[in-house]
Amino acid sequence: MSAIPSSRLRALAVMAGLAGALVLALVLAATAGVEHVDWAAALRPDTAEHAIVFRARLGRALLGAVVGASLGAAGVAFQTLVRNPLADPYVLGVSSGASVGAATSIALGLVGGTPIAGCAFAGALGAMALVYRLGLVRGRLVPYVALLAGVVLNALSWALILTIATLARLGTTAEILLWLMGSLSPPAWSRLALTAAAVLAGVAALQLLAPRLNALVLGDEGAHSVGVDVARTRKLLLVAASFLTAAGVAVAGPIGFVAIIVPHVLRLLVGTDHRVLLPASALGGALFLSLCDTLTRLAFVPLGAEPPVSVLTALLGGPFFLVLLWQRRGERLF
Amino acid sequence: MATSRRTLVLTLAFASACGRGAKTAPAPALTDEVGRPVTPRTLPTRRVVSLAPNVTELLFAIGAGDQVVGIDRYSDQPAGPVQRLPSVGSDYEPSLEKIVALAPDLVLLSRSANRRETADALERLGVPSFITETPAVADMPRTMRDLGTLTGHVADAAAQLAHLQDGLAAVRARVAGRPRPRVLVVVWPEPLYVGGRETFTHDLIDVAGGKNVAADVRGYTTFPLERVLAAAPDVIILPTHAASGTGDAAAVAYWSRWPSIPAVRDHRVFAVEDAIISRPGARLVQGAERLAALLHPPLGAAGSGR
Repeated sequence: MSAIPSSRLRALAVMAGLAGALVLALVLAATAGVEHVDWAAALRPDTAEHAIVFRARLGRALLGAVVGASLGAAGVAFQTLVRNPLADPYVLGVSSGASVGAATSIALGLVGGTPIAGCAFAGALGAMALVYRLGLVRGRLVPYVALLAGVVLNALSWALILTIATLARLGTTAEILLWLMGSLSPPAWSRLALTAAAVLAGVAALQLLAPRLNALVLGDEGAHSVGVDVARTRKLLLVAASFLTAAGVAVAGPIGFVAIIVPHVLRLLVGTDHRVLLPASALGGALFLSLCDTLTRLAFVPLGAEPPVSVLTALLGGPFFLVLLWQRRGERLF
Repeated sequence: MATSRRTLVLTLAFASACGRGAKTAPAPALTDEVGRPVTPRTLPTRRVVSLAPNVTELLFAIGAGDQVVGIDRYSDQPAGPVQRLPSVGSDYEPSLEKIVALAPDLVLLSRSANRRETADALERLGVPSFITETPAVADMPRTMRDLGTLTGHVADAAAQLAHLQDGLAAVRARVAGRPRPRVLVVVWPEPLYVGGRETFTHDLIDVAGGKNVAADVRGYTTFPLERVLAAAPDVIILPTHAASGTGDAAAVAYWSRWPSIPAVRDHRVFAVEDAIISRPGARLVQGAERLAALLHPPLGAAGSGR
């Protein structure tokens, strides 16, 4: 549907704009903060200034970009998979699974970041496998069955988390809640690299599926008529998108709103061709989350505390999206 | 605060003036540490339920352990005796029916550990309750004296209080004049939460001859990592309640990724049992001594971890 050259140009312009803005956002992240930095010292390794600029600030912003990319792209995939503009990766239980994993890890005293992320990733994949299996009806993945299974799994997971938190030792409840709020911390380079590799693989897998995603929008009949194996495509889509979400949520906890609004904003900007929409949403998610995280660091300095980034994604993203919705009212949104 | 203690003392004086507590006569009205009127079934109490770990510790320390008939499930000290006591559930949501079934003369709560709703619900069930409020080391005398008065162990409470004050003064004297290392208390790494001023750990670091680098924030709160890097703490304390020593080791190992921090470079990141440094309990002297040994190694065996 985007064979028209002018829409191609527009899509390229939007992507270039997003990529440029992402670079600027990362530069802003590296240069802005509560501490005054001596730049000569920052360029020497093993100084506190170097650690502040390149790891505390830039490392955290890069992690935000990676997690944001995973959520942006996964949002597009889930919304098309269940053909519902309200779907986000968390509806299907992936983040609840991750939360159960993280809560278990914290309750068992397996703390310190990496063990928690590992358990969260395992929990997310477990939830995905369960939803996938429950969503299969006579070998075909039925989106609304998977959706229902995901919703029930969410409730079940929440009950499990509360049980773990109640049975755990004093103080552990608060730590579990901290994880559940969803936030970004400066990562070890190894974890950043691992997450980035997983997210890149997930986005690439979705990109390969993009032409078939375009066909899915036509409905089952329509997709069949253009030669797409609907059942198989849905399975691949669910696995790829869940994996992508799991990679992001494992390191940052459940950060809301990115996966809902980023795809909608980009649909308004670049249209519904998934070959463009997917990478654009990944870029848009990366930009949005890293920017929100930097603002989280800066905006609340006078208050002496940093709220979790998920607060800011909703506080900033919500009004922005509502304005856009108002301006474009009457246009086709999905 | 001083008013509530005066009220307690006055009402007690009034009570004794009114004659020996005939069992049928209700005990006199007094006021707890958050200003609620309280009427214990008897005074001094014979049966109490403690809903907070620090209160349980203090009750045993002042010799009122025999009067404790039930505890919350987080009460873990003194280790031997509390294992034999029935638990009435979590601090946040204890089982009201278990508490009622234990027929306590008074239920003791802590404002930081319990909910006001629990006290209100107990009141509706006809069970009197007393809420302690001990936000800082400076508030320990009030809570200890109140517990002593309520349980009839006034002299023991005074002795324990003297032990606490003398013990802290002794630690303070030992580290006097030494350079004060910069200390950071990290209660959770991701997202980073630290202990600022107006925490017990902050007070004890001061006693133990250190300087809290997060003193400009209050209570336990989020803290920018870059401020930690810039502040370059000499020692990092990780208050820990992990189920296992491996958890402590992992929590310490986490910091190895920030080698520019002096505490990390010099291997001075320590896990310390949080109950002795962050709880208004009976072991604060022990906590201060532990911190002093970690902040000023020549004073004693520093060791690592717990």
